[in-house]
Amino acid sequence: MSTPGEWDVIGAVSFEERCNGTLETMHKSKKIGRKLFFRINDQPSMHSEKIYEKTQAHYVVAQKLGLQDNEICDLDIMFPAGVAVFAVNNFLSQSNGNVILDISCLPKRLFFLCLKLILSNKNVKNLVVSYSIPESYTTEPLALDTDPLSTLPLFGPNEARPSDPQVIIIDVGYLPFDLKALRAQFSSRIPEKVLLPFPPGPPSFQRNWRFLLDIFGEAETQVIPEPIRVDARDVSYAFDVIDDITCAGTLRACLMPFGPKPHSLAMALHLIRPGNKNQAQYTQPKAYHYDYSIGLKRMNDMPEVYGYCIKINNKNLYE
Amino acid sequence: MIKISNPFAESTLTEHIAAEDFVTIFSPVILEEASALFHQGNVVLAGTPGTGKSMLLALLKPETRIAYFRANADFPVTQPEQRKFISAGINLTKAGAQDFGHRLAVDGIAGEKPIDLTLFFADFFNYYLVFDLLKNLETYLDGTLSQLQNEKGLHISAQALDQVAKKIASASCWFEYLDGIINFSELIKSIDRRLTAYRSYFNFNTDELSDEIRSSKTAIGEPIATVVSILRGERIIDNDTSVFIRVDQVEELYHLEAQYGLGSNYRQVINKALAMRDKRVSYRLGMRHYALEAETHVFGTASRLEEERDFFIINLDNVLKRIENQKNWRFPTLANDIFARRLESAGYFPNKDSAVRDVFGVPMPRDELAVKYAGKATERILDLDQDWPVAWKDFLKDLATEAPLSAKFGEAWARQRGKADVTVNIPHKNEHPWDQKRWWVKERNEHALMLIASKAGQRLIWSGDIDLYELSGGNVHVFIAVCRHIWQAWLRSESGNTVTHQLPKIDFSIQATGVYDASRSWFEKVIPHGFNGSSRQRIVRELGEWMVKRMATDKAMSNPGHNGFSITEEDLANDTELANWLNLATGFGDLVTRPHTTKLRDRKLRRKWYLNPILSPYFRLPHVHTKEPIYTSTVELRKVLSVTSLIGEVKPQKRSASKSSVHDDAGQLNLFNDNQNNLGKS
Amino acid sequence: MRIVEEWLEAQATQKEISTLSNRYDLYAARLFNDYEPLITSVADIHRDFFARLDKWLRNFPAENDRWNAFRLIDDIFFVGRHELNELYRVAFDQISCDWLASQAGLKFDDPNFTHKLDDVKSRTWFCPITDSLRINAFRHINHLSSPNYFPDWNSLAKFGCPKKILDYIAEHIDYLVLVEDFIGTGTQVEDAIKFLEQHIKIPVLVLPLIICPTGDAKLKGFTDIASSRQYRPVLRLMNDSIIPEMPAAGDAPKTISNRSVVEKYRQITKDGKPYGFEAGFGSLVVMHTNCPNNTIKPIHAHTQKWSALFPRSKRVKAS
Repeated sequence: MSTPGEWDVIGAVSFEERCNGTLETMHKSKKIGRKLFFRINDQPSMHSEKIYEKTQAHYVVAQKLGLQDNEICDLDIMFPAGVAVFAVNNFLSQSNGNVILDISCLPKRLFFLCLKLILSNKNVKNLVVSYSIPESYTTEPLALDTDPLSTLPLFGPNEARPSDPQVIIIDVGYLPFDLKALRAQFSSRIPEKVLLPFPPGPPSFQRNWRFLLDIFGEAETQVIPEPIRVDARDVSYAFDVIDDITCAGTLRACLMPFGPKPHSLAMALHLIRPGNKNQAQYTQPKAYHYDYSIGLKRMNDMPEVYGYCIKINNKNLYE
Repeated sequence: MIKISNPFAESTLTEHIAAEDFVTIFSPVILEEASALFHQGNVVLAGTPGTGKSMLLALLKPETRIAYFRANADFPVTQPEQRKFISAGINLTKAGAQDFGHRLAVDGIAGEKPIDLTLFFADFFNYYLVFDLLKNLETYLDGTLSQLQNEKGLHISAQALDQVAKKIASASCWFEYLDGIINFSELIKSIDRRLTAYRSYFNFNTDELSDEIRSSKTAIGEPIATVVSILRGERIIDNDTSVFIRVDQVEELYHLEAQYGLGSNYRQVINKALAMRDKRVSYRLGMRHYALEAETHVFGTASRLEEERDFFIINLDNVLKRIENQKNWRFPTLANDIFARRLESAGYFPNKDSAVRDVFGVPMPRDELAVKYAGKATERILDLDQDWPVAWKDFLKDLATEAPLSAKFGEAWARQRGKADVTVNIPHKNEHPWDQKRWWVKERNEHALMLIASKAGQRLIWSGDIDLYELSGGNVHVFIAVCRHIWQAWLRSESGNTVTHQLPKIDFSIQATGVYDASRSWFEKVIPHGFNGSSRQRIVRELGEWMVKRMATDKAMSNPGHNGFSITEEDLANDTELANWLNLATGFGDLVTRPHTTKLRDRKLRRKWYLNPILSPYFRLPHVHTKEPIYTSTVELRKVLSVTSLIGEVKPQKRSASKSSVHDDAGQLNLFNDNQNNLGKS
Repeated sequence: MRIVEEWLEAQATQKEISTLSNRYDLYAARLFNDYEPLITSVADIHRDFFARLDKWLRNFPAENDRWNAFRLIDDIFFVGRHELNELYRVAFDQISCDWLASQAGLKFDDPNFTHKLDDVKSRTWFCPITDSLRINAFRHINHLSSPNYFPDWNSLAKFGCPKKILDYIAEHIDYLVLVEDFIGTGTQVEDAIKFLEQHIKIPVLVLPLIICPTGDAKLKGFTDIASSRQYRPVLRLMNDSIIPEMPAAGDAPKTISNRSVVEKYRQITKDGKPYGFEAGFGSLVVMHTNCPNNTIKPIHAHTQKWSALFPRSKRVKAS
């Protein structure tokens, strides 16, 4: 078990350079306790070789920052949830109660799962979610071949016969998904709301608008709802916006977490809230572009890493 | 400036409609072809998106019938005996079929064995359908629906339901799980409790599934059939009231199996329900073609499903696609009907019988199109051989100024075997030998136009009602998308001007813009958004460019049908990897396929493929299928597709069959077992 | 026939035109048509974007230049009203509050944090630097009701009485936050900054919503931790939104193409300052309220020789 004052860290060994942002930031403080780092194996693709090389390189860096081999858990990208649940629960059972969840490079279906398990674990008194900012993203397609839309592991419907949601909330991102397939599951009368990450400005600004077009289709301008601009890094405002749309959780929402991870974090927190009737649907890429994100942004020579307090002194700030 | 909206926005309205909208939007034209839906027997509705699968299944839902009733509108199913039905249903995506895989035991980590997950799924499926059926019956307790009760042969009252609940609960199929139930409300609650327990377990909200549930798993299909028997026996429903069980998005099971390496157990479970051929209920399955073709084994047995014996297929793509005799082609009637309804909803006043033609006109005559493409610099459309006599070249150049299409035919004619003498014996005006070969010309019209446009650097034009119907390939979804893009292009061209609600006549040029937009959008946005979309897009791109290159370099126009390709069935059977990719692309509507009657002496059975016609504008390929497609082989196709990195130039060695399938059959077409590891090998 | 429609007929350009036209459809509907200077009808200028676009493209005689101009639109950073509102919120909610909390020594795990921060905010003076910032909108979005005076500091620097200002501060104010909507090189805020440095001793935060690289470099010098002075922008423009006048070796193809549009404008109109008010560079920013004067002239100049795409409001009536 880690000593008091130390923080247990859950993160990833990844082909993205920012996977080491949190480790690097905390390294000097010597407050890192135990670690559980997932190494995700994409399905074979034309990018596999480069992904492997980059993952190896970042692994070497992580080792220098203190990561041990026995702190790594290898997972296939389309892992059955039970495997991850076992790994996370096992890790948490020996936690000193202070956990940092670094979501920078964890696939969403994994970080949502981790978050749910952490927040339901009575052992954990303090939870900070960290997120590192890359220098840029590739302009090529970010991912290859996605699976059809489905619920996220541990976030399937709770009702015997799931009711249709009363609102669909789409967070705009860089991954295409089939909105028509989603609508085909429900009545066409379900209103849609869109969160558009802003700031940042260009080039993300134009890219987000283009992806809005991608999602709704060209020549469908008039049916695109007026997007709600939400700062890409602002978890609590994103949370408040969703709260507002769902009338403080009284409306059933279908959440589509395709946008930046801080927004997805806000969505995950809504899904975990006790008594909520929401659902989430996502389409998981089976393989990513090796330059999905490039570099790690720095401010005054330090990695630009955001920490979001979720639970402090056993109080969940988002309940 | 009056803001005018696009009547064709939200094209999904045609695919999945809320009950209240059904009454105004649903077009009954397709119903005749799908009448089997309302008869006894299992029916599989197969089709690509936009063929109306979900819409037809929705007709079976109680809320749809009630919506028509409340709107005082005529239900499209007119025969009384066909209206006498009730139904229950499950949408496998919405019901969360995917969640079952999350509890799979991997590498010794606590979880369930594949066989157990399959049995849980079957049990969940059973309870879900019974729950849905009972809730649907409960709907008819509403006193205002008594007329509908009569129509359907129902005799529902609160008392009757309480009575029958006891009988249902005591049936042996539940293995005592429902023992002690005394009324309908309790029955519903108990079933709800079991389904919720599954939900909780697969969401990891609970660590265990109770022994009570584990030890009372029901056999596929048995509970729903038993319940229906009891309902008839207790006269809650008449003996001749049909009971239809809707199962939508069956391909969801395909994805579940592929994702977790579960073989094809789940689809085999559904197959078992069909194989029972239980007269008490009839199943209605909605799925894509690849899910149907890939698996016919029946769970727990050695048998396979047989079409006609176990189920009847309504192939919606075939129903609406263009056939030889245009008079019998149903699609234009359907498309026109939907088009007119959309315009009416948007506040226009179309002529219902001719709305499409009124707005879009008819296609431009081919020779006019050629003149349009050629423009003023007509000489540029010709590709003259250097060693042709000057007189012949001058003749063609001169002809091109008046009749560029004829000039292009002349150019090709001179390249035909045995026809080169025309370059010396130059024909008189209006006595061109090619003009006398009516069929030769007709077969080459589109090819010639493609070459002319290409030489002149002009876009190809599709416009007019017939062109739009043909580009839509019998798919309503595509047709609406084309209309939407054309309308958008029209709105853009009119922006800044005053636009009213008078029905426009949209110029061919604007139509061409909209058609191209729709085509590009289909290739760039629609294909990649679907399952394995980026892989399919790469395949389609390579095939399209290959065919374009062949046609573009065919100056003699010897092969005007090379916008398609044909392979022997034997070749395909020996190359399952390639066949799987072609089938996947076909299943999603990227390609269209049908049997091909060979012209070769070997008389081998063949199959031919074309791009979905909506892709023709994007690739600048003619959409019309004429003459013979490219006679090719899997070897050649592998060469063409190897650049995608999805498929190698050389066929892989035969592997041993996957062990995760109940039936160990290496010959079984199974897309995602052995072949999954080949994906992306560069 | 409109120029774009003519282009659609050519095979070689069909794909690009189709893509950009559909994109501009969305931009026009959701962003461009909300350009304030054209909300009411103005003689000689189309309110409809596409009609205006056609006229704008006809400014250029050569086809190639028209193409470059058409493509340039995709790089315009249009800051709509919703974007501005979110920038106001981020400026206040995140940046100001973070700075104030830090200045006042507040700890986020203090159970009275919110209450204490509200107290600090009530003694903070939020003012614009110039009259360009819509301080009323800023106040309304952020629910600021006090204090009662919100002078722009450029005007104060010119006309203000330092003693009166300092007396007011001494009585009511502990912190000063100066907000500006757009800063190019920083020239327009120089006087206000000098005035601050000369007279104001309380902690000051200079907070532009959007700033160009040149202005950013200049204002970084304002930060002085010892004097409790800080500069923190909401959004820094990157190279994607800037066209430098001088070509450089590493110029992206887009920069070269966009520069050629400006140079062609210079050639046609003989305007000696085609890059905008400031020498050396021009931006691609259009705010829904008006074009900043640092925006490249081809976009907003409206004269006898030139039709604007987004006319700057002070030039609208020129004939």
